[in-house]
Amino acid sequence: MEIGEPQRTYTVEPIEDPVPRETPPPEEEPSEPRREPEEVPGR
Amino acid sequence: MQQRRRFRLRSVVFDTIWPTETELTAGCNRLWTRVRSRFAWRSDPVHDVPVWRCSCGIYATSDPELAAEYLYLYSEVHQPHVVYRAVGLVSLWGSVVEGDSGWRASHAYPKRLFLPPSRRRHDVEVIRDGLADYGVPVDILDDTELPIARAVQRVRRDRRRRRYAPSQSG
Repeated sequence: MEIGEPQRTYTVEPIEDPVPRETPPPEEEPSEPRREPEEVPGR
Repeated sequence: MQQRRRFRLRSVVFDTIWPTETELTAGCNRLWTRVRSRFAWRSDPVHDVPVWRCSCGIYATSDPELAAEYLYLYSEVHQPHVVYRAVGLVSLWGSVVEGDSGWRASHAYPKRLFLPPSRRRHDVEVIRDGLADYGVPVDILDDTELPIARAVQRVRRDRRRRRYAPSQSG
């Protein structure tokens, strides 16, 4: 693409994020502490 | 272009696919830069993008007609995954080189997308819906009041004229 001779160079920091990102859902805390599986004697 | 059942934006010039929900970051695709990156012990492997002396970066123009011309660039080349062409507004940020009639930047994301109208209206509507993953407005260019719609009409008309113009011989 022809944009002509470079005139100036600068850095742009957007005020708002230009990317509409989907915010990840917060991780759900387990309601109960995880329990180790009980050992069941084999038969 | 179509990737499996999803529609994605692809550069007209390079094999770059615009990701959804994250910015496109520019790299330098010039042959000399790629060659030098293989011989990092001889020189700096890769330069920052964009830089004044190179032509790299993600390009945008302030001229709607120039943007509309890209709807037809390489259209005669068979590109099996390309299903349609889009044009649009883009956000550029990071390092930016400004030219007389446009910019090239290190970071970009679409701001609004436009699809030229087609007789196959339903197909274009399917593509429009498929591009919704980008999370930006996608419109079919029926509204002739928009500058980009007028530019697309002019470019189409000029192409038709050139195609049907009698060839001149000296």
